[in-house]
Amino acid sequence: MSRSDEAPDFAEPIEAWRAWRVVRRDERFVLGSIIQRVTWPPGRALKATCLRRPTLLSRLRRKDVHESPRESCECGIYATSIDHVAFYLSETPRTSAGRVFGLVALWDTVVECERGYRAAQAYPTRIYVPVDASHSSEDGWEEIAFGLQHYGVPIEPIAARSRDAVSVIAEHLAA
Amino acid sequence: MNVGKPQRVHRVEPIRSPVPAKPAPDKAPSVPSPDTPAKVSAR
Repeated sequence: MSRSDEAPDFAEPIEAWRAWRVVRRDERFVLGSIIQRVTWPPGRALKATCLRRPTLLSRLRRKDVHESPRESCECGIYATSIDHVAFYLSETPRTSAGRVFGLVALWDTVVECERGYRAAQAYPTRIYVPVDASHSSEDGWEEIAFGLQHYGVPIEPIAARSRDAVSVIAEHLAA
Repeated sequence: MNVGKPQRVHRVEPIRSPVPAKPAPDKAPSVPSPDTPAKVSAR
């Protein structure tokens, strides 16, 4: 019996944390992955595909493209715990329009890992915008916050810079 | 992002879609009908 025939383990999405770069596209802002050149579509789920380049050996073996995430691969949509998200927020490339972080819902096939998850489908559920979210002198955090509203999820400005914003939220949630 | 080694695989099937329904488009501003008489302020 394949896993898709089995009863699901959870009937609610798994929630975890991640950082995004903000990308200006067609006069509005969209969320983008920090590592990959992937943007998150507003209003529909992001679906994972394996972006690993096929090696010569795999091409010779005619290894098929697999569903993502596969346990033995490194593919999938990544999310982590709040303890680790600050590092990725600081790693956001300055070439992007800005950087934000937040909660993301993960569902379908989800590989639980030591420090987070790799999922088949994902959608942001809450977006936090630090005061220094914008990398541009033209836009402030207000424009970033307003420009991400088309995701239809709560957007919360944080009165702290990126390096402190995650710990501000972590302390608030722990209180 | 480095999340470490896989521990287990879950099958997650949410009862409700985690993707919010599209917000209703902004209501278009009402345009007065040409038959509507213009308001005349009393003097």
